[in-house]
Amino acid sequence: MIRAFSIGLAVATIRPIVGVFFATARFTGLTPYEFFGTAFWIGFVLHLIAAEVWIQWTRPQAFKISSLYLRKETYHGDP
Amino acid sequence: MLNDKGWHGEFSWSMQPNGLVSRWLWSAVVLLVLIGVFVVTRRTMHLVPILINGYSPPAIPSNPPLAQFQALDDIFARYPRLTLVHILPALFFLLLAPLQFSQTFRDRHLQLHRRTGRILLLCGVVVGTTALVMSFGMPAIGSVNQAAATTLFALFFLFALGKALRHIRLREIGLHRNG
Repeated sequence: MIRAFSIGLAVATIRPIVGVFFATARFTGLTPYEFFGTAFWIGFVLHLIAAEVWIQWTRPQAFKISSLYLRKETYHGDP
Repeated sequence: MLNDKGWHGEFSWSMQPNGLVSRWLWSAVVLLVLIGVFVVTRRTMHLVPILINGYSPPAIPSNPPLAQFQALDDIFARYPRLTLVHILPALFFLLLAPLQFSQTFRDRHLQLHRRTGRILLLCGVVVGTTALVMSFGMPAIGSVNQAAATTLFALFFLFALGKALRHIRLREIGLHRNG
């Protein structure tokens, strides 16, 4: 759900990015036709990266122990 | 720690972000949800009269920036039904989804979490599908570049939703959370 929600929220992030492009249009000379696509890519990719960073950061740190060691009949102590 | 599938053990602990990071993240999420709510409200108020009275092309303002804004609004005004079917479920999605990530909410209202999850899934499927339809069926403001971005990420969004559903059906809570 983190990935889906993050991509959903990206649509809101795109608005300020578009705002920056609009505000700087007189200096850059870019038209909405030229910068909208870029703004969408920036917004979506930023959110994708943020979601992946969050998932990795909060991922349970796990070490698996072979089921062999955990089976009652073969478990004789610490692995 | 033994999991629910039997003796295939997995010892784990979570790296929890500190309070400051969590608060900062939640603030960012709330801000973005508010932007989303504002955008959907504005667009809905613009489109509902068009849906009722029909579309009539607006007069083009002489001010170039205003004319550009008007041109953007005009694209959606020509497809009011499709746009509303996209943005209204998106509003529900934006408002309900943050609840799903609250540990307190899940602990206290697990049944409500599940029901909300089903509504979110339904809204998400509508939002993702209509995003694809809009990418191909409506003129993109940012040309092919924008259509490519919306198509790719709409597919990714639907894929992530499908993954979240699949994992919860397999009772893989951690993977369901990642989605």
